[in-house]
Amino acid sequence: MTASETGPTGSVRRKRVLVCAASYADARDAMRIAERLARLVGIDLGGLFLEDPEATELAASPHQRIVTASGMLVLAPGRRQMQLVMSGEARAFRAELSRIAERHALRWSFERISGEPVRCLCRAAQSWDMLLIGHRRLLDRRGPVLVLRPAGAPSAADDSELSELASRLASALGSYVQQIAPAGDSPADTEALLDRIGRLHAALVLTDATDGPFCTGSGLRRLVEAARCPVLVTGASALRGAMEHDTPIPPGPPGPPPG
Amino acid sequence: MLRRRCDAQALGFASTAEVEGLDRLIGQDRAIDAIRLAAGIGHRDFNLFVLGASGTGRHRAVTELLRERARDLPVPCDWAYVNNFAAPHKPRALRLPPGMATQLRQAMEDLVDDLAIEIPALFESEEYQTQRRALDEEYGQRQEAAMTEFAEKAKREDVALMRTPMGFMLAAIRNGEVVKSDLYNTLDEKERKEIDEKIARLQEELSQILREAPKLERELRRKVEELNAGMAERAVSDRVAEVEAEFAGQDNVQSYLAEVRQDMIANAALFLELAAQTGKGPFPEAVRKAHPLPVFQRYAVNVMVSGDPQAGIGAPLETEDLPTLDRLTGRIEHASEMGALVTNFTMIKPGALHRANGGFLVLDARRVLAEPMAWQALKQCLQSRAIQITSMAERLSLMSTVSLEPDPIPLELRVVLIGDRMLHALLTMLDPDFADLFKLQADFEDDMPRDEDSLRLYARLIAARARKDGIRPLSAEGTARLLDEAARMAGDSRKLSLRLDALSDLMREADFYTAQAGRDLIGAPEIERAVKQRETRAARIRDRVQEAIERGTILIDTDGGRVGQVNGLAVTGLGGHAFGHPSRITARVRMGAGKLVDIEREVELGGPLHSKGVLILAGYLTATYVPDLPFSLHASLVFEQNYGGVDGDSASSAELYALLSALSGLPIDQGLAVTGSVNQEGEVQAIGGVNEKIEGFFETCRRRGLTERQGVLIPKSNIDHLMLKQEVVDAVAEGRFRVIPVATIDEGIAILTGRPAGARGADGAFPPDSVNGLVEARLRDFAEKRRRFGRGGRNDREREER
Repeated sequence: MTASETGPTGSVRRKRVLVCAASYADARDAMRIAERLARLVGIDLGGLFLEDPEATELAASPHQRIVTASGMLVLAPGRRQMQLVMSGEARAFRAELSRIAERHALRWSFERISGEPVRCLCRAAQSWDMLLIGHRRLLDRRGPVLVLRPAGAPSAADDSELSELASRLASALGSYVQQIAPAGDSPADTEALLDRIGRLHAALVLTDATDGPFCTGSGLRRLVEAARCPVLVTGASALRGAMEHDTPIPPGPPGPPPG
Repeated sequence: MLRRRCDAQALGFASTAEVEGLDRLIGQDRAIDAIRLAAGIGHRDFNLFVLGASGTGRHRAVTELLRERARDLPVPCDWAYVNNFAAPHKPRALRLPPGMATQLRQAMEDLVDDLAIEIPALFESEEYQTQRRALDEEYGQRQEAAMTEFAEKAKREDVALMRTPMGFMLAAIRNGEVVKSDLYNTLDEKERKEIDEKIARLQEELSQILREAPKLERELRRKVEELNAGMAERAVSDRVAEVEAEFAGQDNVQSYLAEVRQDMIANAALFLELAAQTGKGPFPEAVRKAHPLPVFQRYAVNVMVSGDPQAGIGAPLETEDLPTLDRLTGRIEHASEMGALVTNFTMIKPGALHRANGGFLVLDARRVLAEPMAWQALKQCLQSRAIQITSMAERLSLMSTVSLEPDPIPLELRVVLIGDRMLHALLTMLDPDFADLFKLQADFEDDMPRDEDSLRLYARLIAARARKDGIRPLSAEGTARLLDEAARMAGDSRKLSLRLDALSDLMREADFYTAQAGRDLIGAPEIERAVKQRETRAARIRDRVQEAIERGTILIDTDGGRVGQVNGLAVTGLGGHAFGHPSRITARVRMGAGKLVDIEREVELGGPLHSKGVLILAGYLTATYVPDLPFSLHASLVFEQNYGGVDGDSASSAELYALLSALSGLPIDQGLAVTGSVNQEGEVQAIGGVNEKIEGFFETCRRRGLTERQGVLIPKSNIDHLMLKQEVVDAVAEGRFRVIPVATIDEGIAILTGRPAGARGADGAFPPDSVNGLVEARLRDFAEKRRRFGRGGRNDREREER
């Protein structure tokens, strides 16, 4: 059993996957992966639209410019216009989420929150089995599905749940699996790993928050920025230690309680 | 002789079972020579028009002779349409040796089926995947490395790279925090300027990196295309080479296969898309055939015509029973897709011209002419010596959907049209192209001379027909009776009809009666019964006419004498059955200005031939009587109770007899009926349907009771045409009825009035009591009265003037 497990009553409990994104562009690739997950294994689907007030405020600065994905330099929108843009992005994200959920008969929920992204992510992680953090891809082509192993873990003949999931996703994406691990546990090793990840054009990065190289919120943020592709985090509840309180964000879908 | 009978003994056999059948046409040498010439001559435009009456064996003769010739001709080449990859709306026509078109079609289907498995397998191979991954990684890493280096550089320069929905935003970092606007405003000018310059520079760099992405994508795409083409080429070239080897020496096939090869390499994705759908079909992948799928129709071979060189049939001999434009020249079908009509070269369907190309095409002329545009298209193809497929809708500009312009297929064939003489005459007169395109005519005779040799040949023909039709043999008597019927159908005792189909029908019906009677041989009674039954079935109108005469509804006298009244005879034809019946003709005379009123003509019930006959008899009258005085007769002639029109001049002698009777005042014997036309010399000339006319009057008399004085006056020149029914012959033999041949009007009027016609004596006058003497006296009387009348009128005018 890979993405489902048996509950206390013997019923099969579906994995809960939370897609987090700060824009619809970031969410779109992650949603495609979520849809494939839904096809491969039954999931409950959540959406979390993260609104970074810092970015919004910065965008409102006079003469602030934005480099678009096509390389054009444009003036950033004003505060009010930025709010409208964010609302539109959130609506599009929600609509896409509901469309996928309806197509695959999934239970789903959606939340739009504003705050520091890392904190929000960590808070959200406690009631979800997997976090799927969206990031727009600059090149539309297939790359490997990257599995991050802990330092010193054997990469060959790895039959862990993460590897099996990576393999099935790679097959569904028409890609292949590549496993990498840091040379050691030192910050330099982590930096080297991030540099290496940044130079690969991965289609998806999978990491386990319980024993992977990135088990803190800030580490996860750096991973996402380096990978520049969706990142699927299993064992996301391990990020809990970085949280200030236990309020589930967003509330988990109706169903059996976690665990 | 009223009926010339065939002597059964003279035939020399007891039954047709003993006779060697003659399974070929007789009496049609002229037509058969023409057919043989058309079949054998190599020059173009020697197409053939076969004309003649139906039932004379035209179709059979044409088919047999052409088939015989076709066997000696080589099997014509195959034709197929294939895709024109450069211009799909102009499909290419491929000429191939006999039998090779289907071979090429099969080879192409196998090629597609094989590549549908081999190309995906090649693209799924580790070899391809490795190369593809290497490319992806190379170009992906080039872009990602640039971004990573940029991110590191930005970090080194204390600049944060932030994502927004619109794109990337750069912000300065101070003490680990993003410099927001309030902090920024507190900075001094120099520091702000440094930040601004740094941000602007990095924004430009980022912009440059992002603008490079599409270029890298394009470059990668080309590399992938090259890789794909290379892989596809390996699979396609190897497999196409096998097909090329199979068709070595066929330059046009080699050229086509070269185009196929290029197109398959360029469109290898078609095969990959099919592979992506594997598992959706009803069969396992290895069994599934790819060639029927619409996407692979571009590689199909649409065989228009393909011969089998091993079949030993030779050139084709085709007939088309429904020669519409489409069925003649072929058609381009359309299919409805999303409400629009679409087509492609696989929807080109062959026509009769394609199938007959290199051989013979037999068509019914009337049907071709009746089908809209079929005749025009046929002529056009023969003139251009090519089959050009153009639909009727296109010719009429009624269709605006997408259509094709297939290569014309060269045409080399002999067309044989079968029709009647009227059609041939009309085409000759009205269509200037006809004589050029159909230089030969095979004119089938309706009958043949009757002599001992021809009777024996005919008997052998009957024997062969009986065998072919699977019926019982005919006895010698039955055969003789059938030969008599052939003469009767010819309407001439010295001829035999060549309408063999009608005789064959009689034989089959007689066979049925023979079976009913439990006999083994078809005898004369069965043939006789078949003849009578056929006549009875068709005789409803005849019986109604005779019944009307019998009941006095139609007034016909068959006894006694009447002045100015004679029984004429008419023939009515319905379908294949004709019957005669009497028709009363009356004449009335008085003094006048020399005018003969033909009432039928006045009311436009008389045809031109009838009017001509009346004018001829008027000429006879004026030349024969009172040549020294003005013709002062006013006469009227009418067919009594005729409401349906009359034509032909066969009643002109009867009309003249009625006039002579009216002028002479002598009654005509109503027990006699008259037929025959007359010329200005007073000679009675032959007419048609003499047998039916005699039999028609005989029937009328028989119904009323034969008086032994009744009979029919016929032209002497019609004696040879007599093939009367046996009951008429018997009645005449027993003296109960008469058939009287006459050569002149004088002979006829003498018989009808019982008084000599009279000839002019030395004094130039007719004997006064003769018919002619009385007629002339009456006419002279009219002339004198007219003169007196004219003189009296002049005296009156002179008196008035004085």
